[in-house]
Amino acid sequence: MSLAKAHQPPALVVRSGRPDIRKARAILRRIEEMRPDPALKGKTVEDIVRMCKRTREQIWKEKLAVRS
Amino acid sequence: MRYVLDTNVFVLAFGSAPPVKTEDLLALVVERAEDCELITGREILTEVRRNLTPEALRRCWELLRALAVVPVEDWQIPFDLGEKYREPGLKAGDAAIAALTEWAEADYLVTENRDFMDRSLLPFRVVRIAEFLTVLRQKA
Repeated sequence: MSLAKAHQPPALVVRSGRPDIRKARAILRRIEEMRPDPALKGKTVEDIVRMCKRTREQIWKEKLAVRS
Repeated sequence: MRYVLDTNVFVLAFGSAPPVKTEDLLALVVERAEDCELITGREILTEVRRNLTPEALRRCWELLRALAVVPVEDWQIPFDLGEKYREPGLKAGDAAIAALTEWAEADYLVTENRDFMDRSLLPFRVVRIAEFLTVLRQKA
């Protein structure tokens, strides 16, 4: 194997096979039964977006703290 | 067609209840799964994990498994790609999601995060949930 070939990144794999649609539909029904997640009850879209932004910032602060 | 769902979309889709209408989104994600590929990354799943209860997270993971989604690991994405997105002013975490979306050659990043909006230089479309529902319905 040539050096260039050996250093090629692995091919992008984003799926492990064909989606199992029937199984996914059954899971969807279970998801509907458990709505809403108690942690999110009463929260608006804006609340949830803000919450996710805070989490992202927190994770990056933790990452940077580990690197420094 | 390929797309990335941002963390806020996962949390809305798996955890919210009316009046936040996201039931249609998950149903369409499932029905179009053969020709519309959902892409996700470890970064996004880590954030989702911190915002959903363990039960909701388990359902989310089960659905991803049923759809045969393989999360992209952080280390797979070239560092330079993330840095590229810092320059137009994206925060580090958002830049990482933009880098994932480009690297996975996704056509859409679906998010309700306004920090991604109005950035014309991105090589993919940034759309909100409502707009993406239209895209998925047109694929029918």
